[in-house]
Amino acid sequence: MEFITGFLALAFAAIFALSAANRGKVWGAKSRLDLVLSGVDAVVVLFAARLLMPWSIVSPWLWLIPVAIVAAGVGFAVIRWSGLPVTRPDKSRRHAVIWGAVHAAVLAALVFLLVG
Amino acid sequence: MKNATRAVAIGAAALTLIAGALALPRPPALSGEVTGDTELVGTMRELLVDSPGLRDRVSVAVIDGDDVRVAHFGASGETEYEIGSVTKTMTASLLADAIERGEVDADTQLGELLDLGVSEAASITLDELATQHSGLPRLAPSLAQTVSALVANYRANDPYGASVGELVASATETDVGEKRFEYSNFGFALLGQALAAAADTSYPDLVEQRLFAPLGMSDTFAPTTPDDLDPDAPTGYTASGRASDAWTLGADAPAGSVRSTLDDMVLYARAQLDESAPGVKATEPVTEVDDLGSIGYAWFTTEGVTWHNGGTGGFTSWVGFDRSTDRAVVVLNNTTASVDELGFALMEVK
Repeated sequence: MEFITGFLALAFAAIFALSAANRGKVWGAKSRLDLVLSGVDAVVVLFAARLLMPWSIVSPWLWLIPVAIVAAGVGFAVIRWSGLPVTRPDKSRRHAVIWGAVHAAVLAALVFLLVG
Repeated sequence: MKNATRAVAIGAAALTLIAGALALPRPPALSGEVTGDTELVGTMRELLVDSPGLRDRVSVAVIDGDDVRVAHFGASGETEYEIGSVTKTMTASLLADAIERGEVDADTQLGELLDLGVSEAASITLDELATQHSGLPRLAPSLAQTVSALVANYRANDPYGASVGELVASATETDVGEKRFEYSNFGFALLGQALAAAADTSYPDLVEQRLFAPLGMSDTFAPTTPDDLDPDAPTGYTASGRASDAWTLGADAPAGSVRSTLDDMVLYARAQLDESAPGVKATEPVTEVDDLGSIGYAWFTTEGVTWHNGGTGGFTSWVGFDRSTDRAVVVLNNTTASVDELGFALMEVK
């Protein structure tokens, strides 16, 4: 179970970096909100991995792999930021607000579960 | 403009990387502050190489009759540890002692001591509880307990904390299973509370009066809430190296809340070895248990070694003895890495 958080940290970091670097329709972020939420997802899962991974068995240096991927994602996000709309143009503003709120609530619940 | 954006992007990525590097996990390592018997310290170093998992503080004692050798890594004889389920052997001693006093019999039913009404649990005998043949599940089967155990895995906190009333209420609602060996914390919690009720006192007072005080274990106690601990009471580490909350267990204290020191546990182990401990009959095997050998009241006997281990959210422990070789061993550790192999190995070391 503890190892799963490590794999999830890699997966979420990769998804964030891909969404920031890619301009394609499938993987690319379609709005600044998408980008922010994807980045926060990656950071929260990274945080969970830091707390739960058995670091006496797994080398702590492996931690730097997802960190480096997230860092690359942050760099790409800065480059793409100005070219993205605040919310997705194909969805209503109301949809974006509800989606963002639900997403943030789930992340907050996860953080509370870990350290609350 | 494009160059400026690129510079900001590189700067942001670099800052993220630096922040991540600063947050590099730093799990504790076996303490370099070592004291005790030189030969035993050397033996421990060799054994710990083959014993995987996180280490920080470890204290061990090897007792051969009157000769006691100790080794401490980052600790002293007075360092406090949670001993976890080794507490069950103490609850077992209380049962054997209460039988000697005539307060209860092995066949006394739980319902005679606790208000269990006409529930299935009321007919469970103290003997069945002490030998882990009660038919009760490992934990109280309440939704609150299940959720608490699940959450505790992620928050590194104490999953227990029910009151005696809540514990008894859980027992009245429990379906009792087949009377075969099934290790039950729930059962031992009920056993300890039943013995306390029989003596008209609380479990912490009972174990203090009848076991710790007679053996001179002045630094050993059974907390039931965090308020019972010193503000600077030691806590241990989870497998990830995260600091764990102290476990005080509430009404489940008889199953695992005792805190002790190596010096005190040496007194306890020696008293089991030379049969001077109150309620020492608890150590006598009563029935066979698959794979483990046999079980007495809490104590397992495997290939001549009578032993019990313990584990909480941040500590593990092992106590064992063999009267045929006149040896006893105590291992206390402040991480969740198992010390069972260490304990058994030390029973064999020359």
